[in-house]
Amino acid sequence: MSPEQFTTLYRGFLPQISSYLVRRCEKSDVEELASRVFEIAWRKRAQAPKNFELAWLYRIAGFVVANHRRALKSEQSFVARFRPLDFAPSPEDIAIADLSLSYAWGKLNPFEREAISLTAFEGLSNQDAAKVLEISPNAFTLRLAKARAKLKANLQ
Amino acid sequence: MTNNDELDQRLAKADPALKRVAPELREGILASAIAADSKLTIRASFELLSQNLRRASLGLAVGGSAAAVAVAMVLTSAPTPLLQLSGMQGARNTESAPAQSDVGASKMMMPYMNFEYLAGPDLSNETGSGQVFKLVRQSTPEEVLANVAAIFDVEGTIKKYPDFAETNPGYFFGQSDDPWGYDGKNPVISLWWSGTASWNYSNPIAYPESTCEETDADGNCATWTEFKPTPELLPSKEEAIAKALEVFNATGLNVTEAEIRIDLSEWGVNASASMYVDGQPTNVEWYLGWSSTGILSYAGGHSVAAEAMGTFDTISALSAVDRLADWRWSGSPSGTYYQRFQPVMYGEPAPYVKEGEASADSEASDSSIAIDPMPGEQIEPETVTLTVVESESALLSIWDANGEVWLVPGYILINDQGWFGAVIALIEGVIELPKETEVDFMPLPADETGVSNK
Repeated sequence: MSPEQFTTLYRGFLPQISSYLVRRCEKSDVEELASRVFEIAWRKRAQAPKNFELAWLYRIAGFVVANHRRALKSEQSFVARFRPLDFAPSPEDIAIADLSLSYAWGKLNPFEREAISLTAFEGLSNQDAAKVLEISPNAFTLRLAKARAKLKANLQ
Repeated sequence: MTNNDELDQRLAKADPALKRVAPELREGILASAIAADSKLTIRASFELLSQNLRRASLGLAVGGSAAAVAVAMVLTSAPTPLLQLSGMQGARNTESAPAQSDVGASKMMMPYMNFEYLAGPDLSNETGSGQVFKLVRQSTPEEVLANVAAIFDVEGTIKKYPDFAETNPGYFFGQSDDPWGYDGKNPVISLWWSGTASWNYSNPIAYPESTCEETDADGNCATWTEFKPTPELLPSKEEAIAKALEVFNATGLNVTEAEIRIDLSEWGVNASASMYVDGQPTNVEWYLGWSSTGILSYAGGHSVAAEAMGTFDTISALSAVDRLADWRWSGSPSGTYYQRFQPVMYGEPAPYVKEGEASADSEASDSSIAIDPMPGEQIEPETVTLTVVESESALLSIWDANGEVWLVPGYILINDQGWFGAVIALIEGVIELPKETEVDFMPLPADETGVSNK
């Protein structure tokens, strides 16, 4: 893939990546993190699955976010370094709009939060969201159903 | 609460992007990304190796085969290094991340935290010696895939992954026309012919079918059938052990019933076992799993044998404490150590859920209390002092610069916080360490993309 092809293909995804990042990070960090996402995408462009480039970008962005959060958290807790990757919107982000939802959101695990986020916020289909998480569509559907059920239960 | 509509409405209103408008990204960001590539050669190389490591799954999730001891010689000194380490020790897959931390990876991963390691009074100052093994791939990619395909009754042909290269020799076997072998319908076996020649079987139809209960105005599914656990479909512990013995032995791992670990939950069953070399467990593991449907959904193993390369002098546990501060001396121990120390770090082990899924709600709630620093806030490094109070000998796996895996004598250094670090015990000169300047950036605790060839 030439630089021109890369630019042509990925320029259309800039708004989505910006939205994905702003849901999960400080607005002031978005540009820097987006740069990192596309640097990685360029270097690994040969691995991009055809027709699933956006899902692939979300996948990259998810790990960039998780590592960014780890770096920020690292000074707070020795134990924090061993926690699983978490690239879903945080309860604090949700709390801006809905405090009780934020509380229920916080009781989900990171994978459950991300499953809901990818469909409810990023608007992905189950198939595309499954690509982001590198699991089968059925496995994703199962995860999403469990996550939504748990979120509903937490709200009661 | 609540019906699905209400939940969706609340989620829609809570979308953080509504309150925090996404900045418009300049198209120049793409050109910058392309231009930046040439400046990151070393880093990119590291990431490729890191990804390959993850593909090989030589962490807690993989397995090995019988050891073939070929040579045993005693060397008291090593003027020429036996092997050259890759520049990625301590940057293995996510599963082994805990080991990195304490073994001195702090220098790489934690620019805002300094660790000081002290030796407790009970550590031995006795030096010794230990065997070094090289893990040598067995058979050929074609034979390995054919053997595994026969065991799992998979039909198809062997193909190379689109990004196949000498440094990235990935194959898969199956009936899928997808260039990456994954079509969501047909079982597929992947094989990475480097390191320990790790293979992985995946059966997408093992997962329950989802059905749509309700569609929205656009024809998209709004409500999916909620899955219920079906433990009655799962194999019993005895059945799982029997199947694991059959598969593991047929793929080169000779284990007994007692060496197989079983994780059971109402959502699935997982069986795993370590490769033992010289009587010691390694982090080369085999595994096998059933989804909630009771169908065998995944499995993995290796085609490798351990070849003894000689006996080499080792430093004392007391001296090894100094190596904790240098990530280059870190190695990967058997997953049994993580099991043993997990309660200290996380509380009691969470029930097995499913490959790739989170396992502990207690971890999830963590982010709810996390406080991110304000933008631009200066972060002061914090010094944490760890006292090593106990040591154990162990075989550690390491990767050399050529992508080969070795097992070397090491120490498990247990600190007063109840966690451990794993460092290589070989005297200086047996292995050639990477230069610190080769990796003087901050590697990520996980592969950046997490995108593999599955």
